[in-house]
Amino acid sequence: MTWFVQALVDATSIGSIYALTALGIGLIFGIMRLINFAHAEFITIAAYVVMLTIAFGFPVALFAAAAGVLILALLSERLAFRPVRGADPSTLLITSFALSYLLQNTLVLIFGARPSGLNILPELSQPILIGGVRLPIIHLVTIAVTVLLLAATGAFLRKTRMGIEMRAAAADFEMARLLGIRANRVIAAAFGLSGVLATAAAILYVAQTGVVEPRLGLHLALIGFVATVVGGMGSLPGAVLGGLAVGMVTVFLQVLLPADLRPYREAFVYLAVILVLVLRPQGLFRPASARERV
Amino acid sequence: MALLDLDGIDVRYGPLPALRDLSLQLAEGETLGVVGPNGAGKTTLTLAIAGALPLFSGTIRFDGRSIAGLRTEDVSALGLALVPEGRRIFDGLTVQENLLVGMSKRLGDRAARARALDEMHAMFPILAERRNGMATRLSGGEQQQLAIARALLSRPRLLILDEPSLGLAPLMVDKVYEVLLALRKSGLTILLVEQNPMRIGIVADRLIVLSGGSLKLQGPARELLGDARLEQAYLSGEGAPE
Amino acid sequence: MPVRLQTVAILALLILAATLPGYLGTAATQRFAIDMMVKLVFVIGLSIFVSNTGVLSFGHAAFASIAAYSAAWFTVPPITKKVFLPDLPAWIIGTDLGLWGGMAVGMALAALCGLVIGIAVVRLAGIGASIATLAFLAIVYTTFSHATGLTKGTASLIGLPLVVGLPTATAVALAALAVAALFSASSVGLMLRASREDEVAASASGIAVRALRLVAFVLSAAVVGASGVLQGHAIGILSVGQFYLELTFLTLAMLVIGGQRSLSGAVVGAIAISFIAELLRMLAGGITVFGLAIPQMPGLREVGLAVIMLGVLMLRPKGITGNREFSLPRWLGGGTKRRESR
Repeated sequence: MTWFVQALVDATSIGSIYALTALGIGLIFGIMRLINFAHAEFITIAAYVVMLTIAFGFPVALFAAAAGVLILALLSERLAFRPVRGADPSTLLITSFALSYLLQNTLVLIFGARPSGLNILPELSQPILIGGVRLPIIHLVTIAVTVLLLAATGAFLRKTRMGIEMRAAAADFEMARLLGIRANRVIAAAFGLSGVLATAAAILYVAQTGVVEPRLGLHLALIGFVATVVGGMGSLPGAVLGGLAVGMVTVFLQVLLPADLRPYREAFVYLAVILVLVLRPQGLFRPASARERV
Repeated sequence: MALLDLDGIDVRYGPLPALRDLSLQLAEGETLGVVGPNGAGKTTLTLAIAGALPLFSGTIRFDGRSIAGLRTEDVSALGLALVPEGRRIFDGLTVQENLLVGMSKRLGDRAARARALDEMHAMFPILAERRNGMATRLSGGEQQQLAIARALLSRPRLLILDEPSLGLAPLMVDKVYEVLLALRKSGLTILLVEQNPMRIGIVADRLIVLSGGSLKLQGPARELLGDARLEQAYLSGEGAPE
Repeated sequence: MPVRLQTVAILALLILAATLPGYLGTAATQRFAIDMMVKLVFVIGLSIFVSNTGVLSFGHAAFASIAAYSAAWFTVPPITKKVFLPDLPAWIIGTDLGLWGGMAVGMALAALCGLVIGIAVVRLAGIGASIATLAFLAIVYTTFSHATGLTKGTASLIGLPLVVGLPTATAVALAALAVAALFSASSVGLMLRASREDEVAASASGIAVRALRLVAFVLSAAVVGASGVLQGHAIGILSVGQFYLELTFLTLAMLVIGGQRSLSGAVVGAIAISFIAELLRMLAGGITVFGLAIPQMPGLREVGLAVIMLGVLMLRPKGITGNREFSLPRWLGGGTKRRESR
């Protein structure tokens, strides 16, 4: 049982980070039908801002990272995505791919390609013993912070005028505009929220790994795409569940697969994505009637 | 002066013309019926007026002001509301949330907005009853009521409805038309699109007949409905490109 | 519009002209020209699918990878294989097919993988298809990274015979051009482009379009495979990282900047971006201009390329060629320049 509890906490913790990433990606996709590769760099840049400002204390670093990425997300929307808005989806896709590449290599230009160590909150890496199970505090903190953030995001989307407008825009963007909802405002707000979620994912991820490098966010974003596909593209609860599911599957494959197959566990996850796309394009968590409008 | 004034508008999907040199006027307080066969360009017309489709040429004036080229949301803000074909209720939102999205700032303060909402609940009791239910769980007729209420909450000066009776049971169609009659009586300007011209005479003052993307006939509703030319226009328009 | 003979002739001359620096200069310029031909084969192969179907693929680098490694299994000297690739079956270790045999094996395996993944890709519309190709890239990358007994994993596989010179690479590039042009002019190519703009019609007419797209995908995978084989035997070293997002970005940039809907776009994009990338690489490596030392700036090449690509996407979304095919000016007896319908 001990191994199971440990694996479960591991899986929920990493799944939490995936869920935050997937939600950030899913928000933008839902409204703009844009798969935002640059979400990877929103995450990476948040980590770099923390690295540069952590000397002033964690609260300052947290605020600086959130503010920095918020501005970055809004600028990306304004400068890169707005000019191609309304173009066909493949143009949007390639634009975000190019923006991601630009930001990533700007980081290489400034900081070099080598990883740097970053210990955000050293006290959190201690494990605690609960009923004979050793659990790293950071995993519990990650889960708690994610639950809080998801609850806050959920409340924002359900209780505030802007949140309801965002959900309406995600369901039918043109109809929302026909009812007078201002496209630029909703999209900017979605990018802002997406940036905040990226910051949270970055800090929790780096607190676990202790390493910052220009390709840090890439892995997370790829998993995030996978999670949104698994959860059903355009569905926000689906994205969160998809993120958790991918975390669970990855960790339990690691534990359960025979040793010589373990390194390939991510290949299995990506294979599962292709299968979901072909067999259940509406995602795993939605009824077949809820197919994505094309 | 006409509230809505279309002058020679052309709309195209890529190279395909959907509307050709169409002109029409709609006076304040008037109800205009637009009929025509499938593919005549009726839906295109509603979307073009509402600012969701770009014009290839021509002008649209609303209350004397040119609205061609305005953003969709800015057209809405001027007081023009569309109840689109297929209703387009927001999936994943409750009935109440669907109404909130339609609610415009022009309603005034919080109290005024609450009053407007109460009015809608009085007009469509089902929307009050099911307010916290998922909107897409409503029946087709209930969704149509929601779509109309959602549009009315922006306090429009012109209400455009695209085939509001499509796919509804006869009883529900009666309900929808009752509401339209009441709105007309209250002085609202209405542009009503229907494929089937039978019922439209109940509410429309004037009719125009679209076919193949252009205007074929127009005149007072009572006169046109008995006219053999109406049937003619339908027959000649069959098979025209959408 | 189908690719006509005069277009192919113009493009072939353009390719030959672009290789000139490789014959004039140093070993470095020769390497540059060979690499340009390698990328050209890749982008032409990619365009066989993307230009004709309008669906973006992020997965073609995987075909280059599959072909490069499987070719290497048959061209690396047996003694080297025994040491570096111990997991290969004995009969493969004992077989040496030479460059062309290896290339045939590599292209065949790439085509086979293309067939398998293609069945999934062509069932999906737009974004779903692109995501599936991306997932495929990740699968191949992850698998090859860890299958150290077959690929040396993330370390470099050395010992590939250095048998690809500039003439060989150029010849393969011209062959790829011919294949792409023939496909584009074939009835399959014509039908594909007719269905390209209209996903709904394409899926409504269903199986036929899917089958045609599958043909394009498999052929495209094979040609891109040839590029991977060339690359391995031009520099003698393979590593899994050569065939991941970096290469995907570079080749997509070439195609998009050139014009993703035409063969001329693929060729022009690959050549133009090769030259620009080389200039940026020299700049990034640190040079001295009039006694002024510009320090090394790793990342500069990539940033420059990304900026160019974003600029093209915003200002000239149809690419340098405007998605048209080249043709001779009328006074030389060429046809009128017709705009690609889009």
